[in-house]
Amino acid sequence: MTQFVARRVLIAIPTLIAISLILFAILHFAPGDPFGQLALNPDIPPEVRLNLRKQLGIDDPLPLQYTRWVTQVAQGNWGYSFVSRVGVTTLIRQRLPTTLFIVGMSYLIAIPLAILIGVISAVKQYSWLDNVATTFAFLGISLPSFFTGLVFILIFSIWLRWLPFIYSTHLPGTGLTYLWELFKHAIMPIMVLALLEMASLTRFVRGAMLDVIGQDYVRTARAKGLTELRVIVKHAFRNALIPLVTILALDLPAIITGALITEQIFRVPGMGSLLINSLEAKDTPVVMFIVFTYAILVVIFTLIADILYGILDPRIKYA
Amino acid sequence: MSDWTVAELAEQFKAGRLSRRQFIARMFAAGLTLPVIASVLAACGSSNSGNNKAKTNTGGAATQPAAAGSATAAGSAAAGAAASAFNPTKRGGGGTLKLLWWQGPTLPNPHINNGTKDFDASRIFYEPLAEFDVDGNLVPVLAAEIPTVDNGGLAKDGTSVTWKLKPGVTWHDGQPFTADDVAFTFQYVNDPATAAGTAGQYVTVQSVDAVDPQTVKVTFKSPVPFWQTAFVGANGMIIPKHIFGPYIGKESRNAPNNLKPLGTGPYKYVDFRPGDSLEAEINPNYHVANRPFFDHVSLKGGGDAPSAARAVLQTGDYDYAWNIQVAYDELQGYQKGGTGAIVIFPGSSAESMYFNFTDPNKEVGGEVSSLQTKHPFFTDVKVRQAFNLMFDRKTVVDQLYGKEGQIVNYLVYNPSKYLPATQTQLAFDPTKAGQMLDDAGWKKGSDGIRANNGVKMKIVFATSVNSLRQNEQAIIKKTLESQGIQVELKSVDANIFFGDASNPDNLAQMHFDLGMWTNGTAIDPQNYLRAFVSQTHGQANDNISQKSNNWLGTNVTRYLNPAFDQIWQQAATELDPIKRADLFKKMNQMIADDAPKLPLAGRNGVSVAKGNLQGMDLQPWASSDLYRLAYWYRKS
Repeated sequence: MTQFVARRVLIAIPTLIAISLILFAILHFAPGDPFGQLALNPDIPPEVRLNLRKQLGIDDPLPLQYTRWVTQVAQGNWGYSFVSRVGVTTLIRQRLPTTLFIVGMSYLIAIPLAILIGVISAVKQYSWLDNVATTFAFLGISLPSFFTGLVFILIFSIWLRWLPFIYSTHLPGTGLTYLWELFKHAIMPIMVLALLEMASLTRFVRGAMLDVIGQDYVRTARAKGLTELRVIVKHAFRNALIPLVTILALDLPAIITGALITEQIFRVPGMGSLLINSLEAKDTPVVMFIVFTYAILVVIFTLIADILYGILDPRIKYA
Repeated sequence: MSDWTVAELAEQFKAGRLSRRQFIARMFAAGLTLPVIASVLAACGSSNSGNNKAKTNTGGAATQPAAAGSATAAGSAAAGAAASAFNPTKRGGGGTLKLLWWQGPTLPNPHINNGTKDFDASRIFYEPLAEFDVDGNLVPVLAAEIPTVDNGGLAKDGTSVTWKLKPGVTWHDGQPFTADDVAFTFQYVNDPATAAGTAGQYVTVQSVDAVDPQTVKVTFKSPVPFWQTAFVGANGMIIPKHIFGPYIGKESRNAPNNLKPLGTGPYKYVDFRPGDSLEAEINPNYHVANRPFFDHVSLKGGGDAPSAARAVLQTGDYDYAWNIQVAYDELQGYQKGGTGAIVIFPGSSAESMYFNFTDPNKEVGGEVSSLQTKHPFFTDVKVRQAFNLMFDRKTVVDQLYGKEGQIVNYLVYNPSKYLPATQTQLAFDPTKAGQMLDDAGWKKGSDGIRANNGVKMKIVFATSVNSLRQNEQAIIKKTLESQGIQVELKSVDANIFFGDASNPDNLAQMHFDLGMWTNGTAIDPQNYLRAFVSQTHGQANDNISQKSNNWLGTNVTRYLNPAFDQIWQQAATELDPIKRADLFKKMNQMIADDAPKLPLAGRNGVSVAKGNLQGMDLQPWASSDLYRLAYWYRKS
């Protein structure tokens, strides 16, 4: 097992280096300018713009910029944001808690509900509950989050005037008042994300369950006289978990890197909106940090998934 | 002198901080005539109607173009009048003011920031020595008075200016504000390693010296006609030496206070998160008595303009949102049934049409639109003037901009003092344009397309991706095609079109025949008019946007006119303001006649505010929408 993990980590290193190189090159050739706003101002002479670019090393050749970035990162320094001129890690520290909270909460709601609904749908296939769940799942999958987000805003903010549609990190009051305000601000983005996640996850759970529910060992379990609950949970569901783990391992890094579109709609100051704004401004150090972190997380979570397979399915052995 | 300084003085007088004699002396010094002073004095004694009279006498937003004036039922004119009607007797008590900026500020340092949103954030905390009012007159903020030749502040030969600083001003941490801070601000900006975006406003300055703690002398490299750049307005905010002293040059980005602004302004820093939010609380020691009104200011950033407008007009979650570039009828829809107001104020920018004088279809030395080439027809002034007759400005303004735009005849239309005495009116007459093209040798061929010597009259017409601009393109294309001109529309993502000039699709590279975008002049049009000059740094054609200068030259149309160059150079050194204004009028007319670039629509400033929010006094020469934040109040 230890050997397996060590080997995987070693393989991950060249992968990550390759990813960083490709990312850096794409960003370098992508259009955009951190000082674009200054370009149309006739009171800012070209010399000033040129000097800004020179001081931040934006016009240096690609290999030089990349080497500088790698050397910095190797020393644990992620560099400065061109736009905010503060350390990238300072920016991240401000954004991460919000994303952890919003995306994390949406997963906490979505995953258990999706599993419950998915399992019931599979067990009671073609029942009214399965039909309703299927309809909602398809709706959820086909409606993009910017659409559900806008519909929510229209209904709950504009028509009913119940909820604010601009997320704020500075909420008035303490104790219960604060919690109530937090609930009002956070519920719409959380629900938009939860619905999206739930929709696809429900379908996966249902499909995985249907695959195993007709297997011989499930029939054997029933024949042994086990209760239906025990059959479903211990025998069927455990085996259905394997494809689910794969899906979740790829989804979970989003808890850190944020939800791009939903954060933008509700003005949630999370990692996703930071990434979009940084991309627009071509703020390379910030974009590199977020995207590279995402790459690392995907590598780590796939590794965790592999280990979990071994635990879930005794037939899988790592040597 | 604007009405708000009158109001300020009147307040001090009423509060007993100024004697009657001092008060009259100050008003007199500010150029007010005795009858006006008498009316203000009368107002101080009784009601505030006299203040309003002072306002009418001194002019204000109401004197601005009709298109702006008529839209301001709850807008700037009303707000301007109300400013003098609110005379609080104590500081604070206004609760929280919630501002919404759809671009979130990222760096509230007034000198190393990235544009309007950051200047706005900085202006909450920092202040310049002086600001311009709506009429273009300087009004002191951190200065005790405006330097003039008469008070000895301004050197007759234009080589230096001496500022007297307002006494008793302190930084947010209690340290006194002195001339050393002003001198340091110059050092900070002037160090190339600081990479200050405001450095362009200080290139004429030789040195800044603290004569004594309350006096600072600015010496220029050579006599400058427009000296009101250093320490004035957006580029002139003063930063504290004791805070930023160690963080100059390369070290500037390490200053902890880049994100924790500490200035002399009406509000103090509480919290800042780049791109998201900014929290500020009242400065209990603010140097203007009984101001500001609001106890807290909370600025939220991010999102888009339409939803920002909704959050103010429709749901009322926010008090004020800035720079609302949303179609006027859409805004009116949001406003219906709500309590919000659409605030429209005159601007100085124009959506403009740019002719390419070089050939975008030829490549010389790896460069498209190279100076070595000539455009097949736009080099002919008759063709440009014929095109000018085919831009349907009235339809564009009426259908697309509504009250957010106005028809203007000149590129520099505000300040209006630079408009020529007799003005050319721009007309819309496609038939006449067709005749003019016929006369110029461009006759319709059998395919209906005009041609001359085998060259077809077809153009690429480019702008940025923006629904309003695509509508403008459609209107213009229709007229051009009706007169036998083949038009290919091109729209480029705004980040690319306006961003890095080395991108082939950037506007500076002019890979098109006709371009359309907005820019506008500052209060002094010298820098704006540079866009028509070919040479500014001593080398032939060095201001033309081209490969050899990485397309950073500001003359993007590649317009060459030695006569224009000469007048522009003259204006750069002419010290007599009246002669200089004549030069600007001349250049304004030259551009109108020669038509390298033409206005399509003048653009007004648009904000939205809750109906009871007053005192903003929005105007185009201010450093920021928040330049009067200390005077904002909520009508009960």
